[in-house]
Amino acid sequence: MTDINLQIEALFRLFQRGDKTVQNQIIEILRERFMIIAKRRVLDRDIEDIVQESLLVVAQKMERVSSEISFEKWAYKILRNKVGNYFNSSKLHKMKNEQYAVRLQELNLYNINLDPDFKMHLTKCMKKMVQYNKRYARVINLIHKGYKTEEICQRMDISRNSLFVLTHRGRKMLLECLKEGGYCEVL
Amino acid sequence: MKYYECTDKKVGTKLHAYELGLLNETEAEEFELHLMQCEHCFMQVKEFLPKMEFLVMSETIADTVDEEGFQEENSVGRFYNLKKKAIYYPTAVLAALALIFIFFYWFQGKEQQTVSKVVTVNLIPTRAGLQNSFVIQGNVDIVISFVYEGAETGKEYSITLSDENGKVVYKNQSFTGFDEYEKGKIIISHRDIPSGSYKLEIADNEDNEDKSNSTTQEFLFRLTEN
Repeated sequence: MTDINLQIEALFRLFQRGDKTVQNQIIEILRERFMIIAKRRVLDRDIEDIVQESLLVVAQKMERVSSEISFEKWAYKILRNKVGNYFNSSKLHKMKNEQYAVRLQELNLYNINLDPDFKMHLTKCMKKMVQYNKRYARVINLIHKGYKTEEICQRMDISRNSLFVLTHRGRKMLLECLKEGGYCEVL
Repeated sequence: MKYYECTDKKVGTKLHAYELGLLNETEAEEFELHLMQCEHCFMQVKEFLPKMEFLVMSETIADTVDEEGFQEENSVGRFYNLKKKAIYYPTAVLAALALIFIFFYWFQGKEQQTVSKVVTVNLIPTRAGLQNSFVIQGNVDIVISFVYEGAETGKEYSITLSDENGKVVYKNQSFTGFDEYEKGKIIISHRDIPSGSYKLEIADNEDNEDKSNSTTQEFLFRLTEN
């Protein structure tokens, strides 16, 4: 992996100039990102297929991408179209709205495999958050109670953007706490 | 691990909202596109997405954040919300002032009503066998006004009010309330002198010491409750 930010775009420019050796590198970087993004949108068992199909389209068509458009944006659109097709062409179409709930159920199973010590430390950190950042703890509390973003904003009497900033700051505090327990490398 | 800067901090602030599933479709797409370009946010999501999702999944975490009793915070917390303070505090102060004024005027009205419930009866000397007669309406306090010939201001007199059976209902042995017109007043609750005949005796204390020269004056009067 290269150390520079905006690495995909830079590699793509190299590719456009005729350096075909970077294609595999681009695909690998995209795969990593696609996997993460798809994880939020489709069931675990289907992630691999959707990502593979998307990368295939990217590999086939990347030569024809105009230099005037953003390569990342183009690649992302391909993934989004594949995710859209996934819902429309399968029985999952009906459960689109419930998709997140199903996903969360799967996560329940997934989280059983999380490090028990980490879970314990995270709980400790949340106890701290309840003491030192009540508003953040309140957001988590409302999410647990099943409130949607608008309802959370309404109940807390804050704007949408304020909610995002509040959660962002809360996350920083939480990661600091996790770091103290040795559970956080990325800060 | 290499540290990267977020390429768009405005979109970057939606990182945790994305992890918690708070973004709508448009916002989520915007953030995902940002993930394609921003190494910092991508590394964060890659490392913490499952762990942060655990935050909203875990029953233990739910219990932890629920221990605070956030249910009550909604109504009470809102009152203390800084944004609301600007509205609530002046309103509360105005309401308190309004209540004070209302109570003040009500209390004053009450005082005036009490004064209006006092009736004055003026006793005049009568011949033997005759008496003053007054009709009293309702449960009022009675001011009994009388004139004692030769009374001096500030001097002590003895005043006794007794009913038809000779029972003393009021007695003041050091009455000094005569004015310059030899007029004195006492106030008695109607409860103490219900309907009936009464005798008011006024005596000069100095004369009482010298029994030979007594100038005691009596007023007879009858009260009838309507």
